[in-house]
Amino acid sequence: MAGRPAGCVDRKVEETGLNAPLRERTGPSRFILAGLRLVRMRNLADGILPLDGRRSNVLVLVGPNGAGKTSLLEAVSLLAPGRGLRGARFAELLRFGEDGHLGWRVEAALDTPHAGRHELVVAGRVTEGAGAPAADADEPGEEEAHETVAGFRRLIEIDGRRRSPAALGGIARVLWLTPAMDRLFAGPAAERRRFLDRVVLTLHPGNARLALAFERTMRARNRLLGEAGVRADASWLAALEAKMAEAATAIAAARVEAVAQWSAMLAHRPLDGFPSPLLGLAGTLEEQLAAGAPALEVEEAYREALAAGRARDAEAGRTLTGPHRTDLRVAAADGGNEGQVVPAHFCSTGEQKALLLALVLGHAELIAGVEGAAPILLLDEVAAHVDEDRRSRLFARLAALDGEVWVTGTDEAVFAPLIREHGADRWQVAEGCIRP
Amino acid sequence: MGKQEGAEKRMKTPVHPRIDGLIQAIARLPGLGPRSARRIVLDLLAHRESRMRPLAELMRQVADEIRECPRCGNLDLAEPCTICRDERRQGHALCVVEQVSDLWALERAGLHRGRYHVLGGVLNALEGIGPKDLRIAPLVARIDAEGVEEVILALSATVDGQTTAHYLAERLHEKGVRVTAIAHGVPVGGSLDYLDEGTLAAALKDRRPV
Ligand SMILES: Nc1ncnc2c1ncn2[C@@H]1O[C@H](COP(=O)(O)OP(=O)(O)O)[C@@H](O)[C@H]1O
Ligand SMILES: [Mg+2]
Ligand SMILES: [Zn+2]
Repeated sequence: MAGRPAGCVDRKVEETGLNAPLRERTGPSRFILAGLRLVRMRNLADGILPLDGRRSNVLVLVGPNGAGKTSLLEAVSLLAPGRGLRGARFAELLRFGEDGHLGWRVEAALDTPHAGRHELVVAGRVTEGAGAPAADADEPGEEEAHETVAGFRRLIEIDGRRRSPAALGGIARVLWLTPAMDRLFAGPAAERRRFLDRVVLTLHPGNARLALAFERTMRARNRLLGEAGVRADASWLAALEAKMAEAATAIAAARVEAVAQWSAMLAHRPLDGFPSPLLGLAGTLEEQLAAGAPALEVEEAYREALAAGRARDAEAGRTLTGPHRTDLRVAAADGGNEGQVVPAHFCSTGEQKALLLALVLGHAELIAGVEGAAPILLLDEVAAHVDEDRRSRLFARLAALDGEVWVTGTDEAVFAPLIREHGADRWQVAEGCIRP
Repeated sequence: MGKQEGAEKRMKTPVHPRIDGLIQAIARLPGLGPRSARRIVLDLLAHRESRMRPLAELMRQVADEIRECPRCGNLDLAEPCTICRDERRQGHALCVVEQVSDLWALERAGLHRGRYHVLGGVLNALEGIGPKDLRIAPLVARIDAEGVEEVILALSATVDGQTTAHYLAERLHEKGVRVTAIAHGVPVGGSLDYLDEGTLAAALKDRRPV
């Protein structure tokens, strides 16, 4: 790329060295990035990050607005299932002006606690053939947007073999907090549900399949009801509803279990000086399961509710009950204010940020407890809205997590304790170039 | 977007519409796209006598002579098909599959002694494929006509495959027939065609009532 400042990491594919032995620095019980290579990702320079030269797994990324800090975290977040921490379309990740057929690419060498080192490749490009839509059907006058967005596919390789995106869930654990999540408590339930389901997914990677099954059968039911209303084929509806109920109950049960584990961890290891988050699930199936109803009964009850609700759902044009309506309720229990519990959306901006940090840290510690290995934790603009006292307490806990922790900010000074007292590395990000 | 796509747009003009039509027809085949279609057509044109004409002749023959078995949906020269005419086949066990390719996979493995019924797909409301688009009514009719005692549902482990299995089980229970489904270990989401013989044998052996 033109106009890159000198000293920028920029090497050829052939000399990636991802397979080269790296200095033995990592214990066996963490998810550690031993190598990372970026190709045509956003504004980031192509090349390998010198991760093997680090003193610590805590990495502070400092740089002005627009430097590429969030983009770098986003690239790492793509090692987990899903669309990464911005929820972007895969076509949007490609650097402006680059060829969609070449696409973008993230390669990582990831040390995992139980299975040793994995070589992960996550790439996105315009593909044709097997399974792809007529992405480049040479129809005259066809819009380019169709080609670059609809034809854009994500390709996953794990240890040299093509795998499904879901397979990533069995390998990497990546958690994140970004400024875009600041409005999580004030925003729509759908976002809190997604936040919750990411937590569930890190604990039960197999659940991705259930979510897809529920989604697909529900859409099919909505379609049938939309076309024929209650006159739709009753056996067909019953078959769909049975499959919906099966998936829904398993989804709800996994959520109930995850929230119980998460809450226990938050209570067990409170973040001093921060409000304590209290978690609750608002959803019919979750509430029944949490009250101790047997899963088979809950499944049967939901199946019957769906059958009874056909006319109503046909009228509404969607399915009105189910796990797709569940909300994660969060409240702050103020340690200083005995007994005071405040719903999170009433809390101040700073308090909400503190709750989010406590939740994400609790999630990371939960994974560390369950898996015996801290996940990769990405905290974008972590210092914003956090006062100095809380910052220093948070930094101490991040360092104690003893895992891969990447934090970003524009102002280096706020990270001084993290760098000086906890030995974190500080890297500079400028115009897409990342330098130690 | 990129330079390459621009180049492809420009390259389209020198291709004669007749060739382009063939390329487009091939590009619409499963597993193929415009790029591979171009490669195939250029290869065929370079080997007209040794590949292209024999292929065209084979295609014409197969198109003329191969029939869909009116009873089971298999593809064969004979009508009804060789399997349906085979008197040694046990009439009481009927194996329901999605596609002819699944029937062939089970036959290759030599696992099923009875006859088959090809549905021709699975229920898919999102693509507008309903019970009437599948060979479900003929299946129900065969239960009485052939004295079927057990229907083995050998459908794929996809959401649509399993929804279809559930639907068929409900419809077939009314006929008082035993309905079983093959066991899918880890749901793979693929068709039977992708399973090796050992996995297929285990799936068929471990079938469960539904
Ligand atoms: N696909 C892309 N190609 C090239 N540049 C991009 C792309 N997407 C975003 N950018 C630009 O990359 C820059 C870096 O963004 P970001 O990573 O959010 O910076 P930071 O988090 O450091 O403030 C922004 O100026 C943005 O406009
Ligand atoms: Mg940013
Ligand atoms: Zn036949």
